[in-house]
Amino acid sequence: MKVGRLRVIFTLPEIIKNWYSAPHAWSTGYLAYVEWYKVSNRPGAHHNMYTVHQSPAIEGIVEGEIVPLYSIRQTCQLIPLTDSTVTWPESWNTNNVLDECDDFLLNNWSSKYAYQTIW
Amino acid sequence: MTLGNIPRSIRRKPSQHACVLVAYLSVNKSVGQELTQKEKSARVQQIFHDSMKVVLEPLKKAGKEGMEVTFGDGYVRRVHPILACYVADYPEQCLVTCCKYGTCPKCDLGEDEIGNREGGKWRTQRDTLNTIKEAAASATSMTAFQLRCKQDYVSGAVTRPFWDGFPLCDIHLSITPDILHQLYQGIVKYLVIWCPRLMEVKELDERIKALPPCFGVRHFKKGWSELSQVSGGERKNMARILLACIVGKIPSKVVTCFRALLDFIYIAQYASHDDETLGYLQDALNLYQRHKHVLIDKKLRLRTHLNIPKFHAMVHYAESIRTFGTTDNYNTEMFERFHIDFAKEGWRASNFRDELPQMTRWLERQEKVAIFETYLDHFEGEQDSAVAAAADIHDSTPPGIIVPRKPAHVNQTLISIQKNHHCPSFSHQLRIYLNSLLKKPDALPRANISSAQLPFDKVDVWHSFKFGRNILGNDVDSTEEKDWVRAKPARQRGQRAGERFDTVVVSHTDEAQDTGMRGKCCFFTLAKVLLMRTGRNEGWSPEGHIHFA
Repeated sequence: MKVGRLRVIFTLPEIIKNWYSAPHAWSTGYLAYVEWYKVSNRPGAHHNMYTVHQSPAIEGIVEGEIVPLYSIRQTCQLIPLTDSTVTWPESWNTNNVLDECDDFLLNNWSSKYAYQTIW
Repeated sequence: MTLGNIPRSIRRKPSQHACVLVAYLSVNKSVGQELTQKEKSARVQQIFHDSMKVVLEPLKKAGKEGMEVTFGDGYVRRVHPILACYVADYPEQCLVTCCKYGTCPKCDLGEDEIGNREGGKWRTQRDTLNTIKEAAASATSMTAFQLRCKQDYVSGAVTRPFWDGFPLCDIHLSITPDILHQLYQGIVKYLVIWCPRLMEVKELDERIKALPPCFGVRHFKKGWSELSQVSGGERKNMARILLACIVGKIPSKVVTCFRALLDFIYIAQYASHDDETLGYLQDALNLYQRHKHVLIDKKLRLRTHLNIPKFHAMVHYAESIRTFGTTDNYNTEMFERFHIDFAKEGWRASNFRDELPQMTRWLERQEKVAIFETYLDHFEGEQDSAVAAAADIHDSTPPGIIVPRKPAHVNQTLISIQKNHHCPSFSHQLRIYLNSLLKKPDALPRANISSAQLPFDKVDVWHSFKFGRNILGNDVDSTEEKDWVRAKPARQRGQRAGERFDTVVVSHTDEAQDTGMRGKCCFFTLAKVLLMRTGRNEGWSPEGHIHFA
């Protein structure tokens, strides 16, 4: 199981440069571009939730992958996690918190389905 | 009233009419102006029991002697209906079982003991009845009668309980767990009340407001502190985010305690149970029992005691699930819903004067129409059953992905995608992906990938899709759950409002390789496609085969 942020849903073109058909090996199905998070090996002892970190870009390349759309199993909710000493920055809001914050908890309480599948 | 052997998927749909209204009970509280409060309350309770006795009288004979019932398959069978479950909230449970308010309706613990770890001895219908009869025989006054009853934790308001004489019935056993009132409006409510005492209200609100959106989870735009009259649905949504919002801000022992309670709430709602899952339920309960002392810790000042009937009820969940099946079979939520159909709608249909006869007549007509409708459906169903059977085969295919027919953005350039979707490495990863489709000798070494050129610069882009969740083998009878995932840029360039890129769980297994590749002979030509290095080949031409079988 991997956790990532879905960035693009797309298909490969059927016609490529100079009006040639795309090679047969290319997937004709829907593809997704996902930027990966790093998921902790085991859940936290007290709250039993996995912690998730934003992967830093290495040499300008963000760690991501093209995967078939059907390999996406469910949406999940990430809940921003801050140190107990840090106060909650006021600039964070529901639209930008996924970009601003680096550490999250993978919320397996978001639905009964998530509770039964994420552990 | 409903039948226990109707599948729960049918029972919980109001349109299927699996639950029928048997009677409207009087809620008249203003009996006898000269009576004391206690006497009034006793009279009201006795009126309830007497009315129930009248209403359910036919069940006694039918249960003992049996009755002939025509089944759906056309056969007539002999049926002995017995009273198995009584679904009610806590005040009504006390009223029905005649137990003293504040004690457990199922076991014999008093109000000071129900915070104990273990449940007490089971109450039985015979014991309760004996207590009432003994007290009534020996007591000389109403007060003496009540005192005598209360020693055995019996309410002492009722002298003739309605369940006396029912065949094979134990009223205490028939009391069922109540997810809505005990777990959500009980335990979750306490947890939500305790949160502000453990951390600053403002910070909790800020955190809740700033949570990223997620399909199926309500976003509380103003936080929790301004909510009043919290509904069951809202409590459910609070439970979904509660724990993650308080981690790091409240003592970890309290977090463990809260988590154990939430574990219990979620496991108790599983749509199927076996000894293993009931074991998990017990584990969660044990974990809570081990840590609950922090809730009555003097420093935290959350509570002075934990003798709360709603918390105590957890002790009896596993037993009830073993006896009566999973908790969705006897959820009060379902019956609360019928209050709208049977009481509110009926009231609205009346002219508000002498309403009861009008309401019952209205309901009778509704039921007759419903029965005729079922008959018509059945009749028409026979005619086109062949068509339906064909459709069934089609429906049984596994839930798939539903993507809009037309792309949200046709032929969008890769550069614009990278900019609008905030994914600067998209084309790089695309190259890696296409390279990975090649076989060994043709694939490029990793170091060269970044200089390879893609044979296209535009792709069709979609902004959302839906899919049926894997149903885990348990929700087979309910309508299929759908998940909705979005990867949508902002409408106006340069603005962030309205954009949404969901976080998702992706499966590890590499099934892609099975379906993504069809022929074997095409790999080397793809290599040519990808091997277009910058500056080498101006007018790109394929060397070799591009079309082949």
